[in-house]
Amino acid sequence: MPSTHAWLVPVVLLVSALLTAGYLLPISISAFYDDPKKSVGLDRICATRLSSRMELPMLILVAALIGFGLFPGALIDFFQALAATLI
Amino acid sequence: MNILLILLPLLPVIAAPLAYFLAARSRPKGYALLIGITGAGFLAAVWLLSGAFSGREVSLALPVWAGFGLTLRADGLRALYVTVLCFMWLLTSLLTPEYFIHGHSHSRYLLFTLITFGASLGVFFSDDFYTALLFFEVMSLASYPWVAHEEDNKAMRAAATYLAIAVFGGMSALFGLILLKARLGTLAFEALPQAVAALTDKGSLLVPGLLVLVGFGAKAGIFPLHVWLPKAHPVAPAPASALLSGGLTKIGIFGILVLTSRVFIHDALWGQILLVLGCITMVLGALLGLMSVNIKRTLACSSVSQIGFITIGIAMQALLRHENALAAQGTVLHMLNHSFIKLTLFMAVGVLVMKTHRLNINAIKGYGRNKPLLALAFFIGAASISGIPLFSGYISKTLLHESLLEYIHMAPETGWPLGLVPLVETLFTITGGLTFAYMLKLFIAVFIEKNGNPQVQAHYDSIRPAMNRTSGFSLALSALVLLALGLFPDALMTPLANLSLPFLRTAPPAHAVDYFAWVNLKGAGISLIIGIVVYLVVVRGLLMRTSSGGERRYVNKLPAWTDLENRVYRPLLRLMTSGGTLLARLLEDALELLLFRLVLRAYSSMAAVFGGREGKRTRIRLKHLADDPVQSPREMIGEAVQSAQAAPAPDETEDEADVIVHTSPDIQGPVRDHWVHGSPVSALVVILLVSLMVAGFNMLLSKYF
Repeated sequence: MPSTHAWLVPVVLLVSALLTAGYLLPISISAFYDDPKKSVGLDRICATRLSSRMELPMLILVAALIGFGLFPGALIDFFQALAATLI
Repeated sequence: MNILLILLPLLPVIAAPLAYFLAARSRPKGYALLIGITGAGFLAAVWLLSGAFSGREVSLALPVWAGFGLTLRADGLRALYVTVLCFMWLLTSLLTPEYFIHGHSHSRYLLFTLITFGASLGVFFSDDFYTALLFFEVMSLASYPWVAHEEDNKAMRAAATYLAIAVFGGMSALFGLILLKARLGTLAFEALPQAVAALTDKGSLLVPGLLVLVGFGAKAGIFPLHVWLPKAHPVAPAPASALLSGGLTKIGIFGILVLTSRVFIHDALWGQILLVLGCITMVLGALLGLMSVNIKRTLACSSVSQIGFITIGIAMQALLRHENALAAQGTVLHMLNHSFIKLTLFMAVGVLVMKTHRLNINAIKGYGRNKPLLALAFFIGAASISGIPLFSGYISKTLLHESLLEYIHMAPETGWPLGLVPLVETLFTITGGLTFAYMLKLFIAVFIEKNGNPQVQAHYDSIRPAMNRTSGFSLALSALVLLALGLFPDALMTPLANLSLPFLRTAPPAHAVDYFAWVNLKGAGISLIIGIVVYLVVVRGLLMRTSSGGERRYVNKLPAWTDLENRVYRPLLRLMTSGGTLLARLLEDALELLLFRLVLRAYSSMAAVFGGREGKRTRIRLKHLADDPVQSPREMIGEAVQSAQAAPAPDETEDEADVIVHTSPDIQGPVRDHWVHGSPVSALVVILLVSLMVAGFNMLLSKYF
């Protein structure tokens, strides 16, 4: 990699991360906060519970996200092994 | 017991959802869990702190965690600050039940308070920048619900600003750390000094360092990224305000301390940058605080100002080189004092707000007249922050002031550049005066003056007791700690400061400072006299107006154009988003156009090749692209498709004319419609171009990954 342009890679990644935060965070904010009269607060969501069939996949996905975030080693190894067999 | 280092940050995070569901069923149980966890945390932290005093080494490396591994350590400063944070969280938890009696969303508050608690402890335990950034980001995002808690327009706007600066700061710090890691090969705190020493081009560290400074400085509230703080701290619930102001700002300072003591070791340029930023932050915060008529806003602006004092202390650590012990002591002690001061003051204001629901000092005027505990706690906090002798703030401000004087005295002998320091010393004294002036303003308004409306005053007088026993205990304990620190500086403050010095890579000073020497008392006295004059002339004179009812009211005469957020950052962001959108739009259209022409060419060329030479060419009817450049490609494709579908089978005789139009696209005249078709040669060219692009892209990719 040309060392003079090496900094471009993280810049591109970070700008795209910044943009992602810019368009994703407002969604969850307006879903849970904006205009308390219209939208449903977290407390009230608990009052009107989702069916467990809808809740379960979300919970599993969130648990997987946190789990793989804390321990990405196994995941990375798995994909590396997979890539090794392919190449 | 090393496992404590990960349990302390992790258990609150795990307990957070529990507290959430528990509190949704029964509030007292939720609060009990919060108090239990913060209390247990405090006990564990005290154990770690006692270990740090006795030299017991507690560290933990978790190599598998989070990809790159986490490293944690609890030595002097880190053990001390974890204890301070646990203490703050415990005391505010004791206040929380009464504060939230009429509140809403209490379970959400508990959820995020616990997550923020764990993450904040994690930052202070971290032994490398990667671990620190991970916890920092969690803390940064998890504290958003504090600011947005009230969910009104003001809170949502402040929260948006908070989040934007937090995300921007986090990204900036991440970028800085990536560059730092590339230059130094390590982010471990202990390995950084050696890596820096081995580096020949030290100048190349400045840009990464500044990027990291943006991230941590934004959290600390250093100019010019302080704008979120005077807006976010006042709208949060009071227990959270205390933690934001007293606790989370120090996490930003922690990062800057690491940078200064391990990357920019005795670096004069770094010191000068911090000195200028700290000086502006210090003066600006005090001026804003003086103007404000909202009690929590004044306290938040005061936090900005005090962070400025602390930043100056850090700057002096860099500038004073090997003689920086006093600056280091002053920095740590001012951090400590500011934490306890803002804990006390914001809890006192919380006690006041939970009964009055007002923050404007004209409205709450006279509320504290017959509430001795509240008045005493607020007085101790105010006296400490103003640097009145015998109160804790005096000690740390004296140390910081000493370090400035030390530089001024030593500079001519050693040939160091004197630079800004004499000016900073003057501003330091004046800002000390301003601090006293705005605290006088608050104290006199709330605890001495009578309310302009006698009925309101009678109502205020009837509110007794001001708080329940738990809240009272919490407030009293916080004020008591502050009082004890100020009364016994040699027994309490000096050992704590010296305990922290190894982390700042400096040794205790050769001779102890006589805090109550005449020269130091004189410095504090000058500040206090300036404060009284400013209070009498500026606050009572310029910043008050007689209302129609004959009442003297406090007014905020701060012109709107001074708002950096509304005048600079938000317009800039809007400009950037609209500019970016325009650019992306143009790029998208240009690409579409290019692709469209390319595909069209390729298609007709291939048709020409594979469709046979007998003239049975497939053709698409379209408008000349150059004729109508404003038309978007999508519309053109639509039209082209439509016309292609509607077009009658072309006449063989038209074929020759098509070639002419194609080879001379500049043709003028009424003919707008024409045929595009290709030849075997253009098909080859297109295939070649596409393969070249793919190959180039591959090369580019393989270079980077």
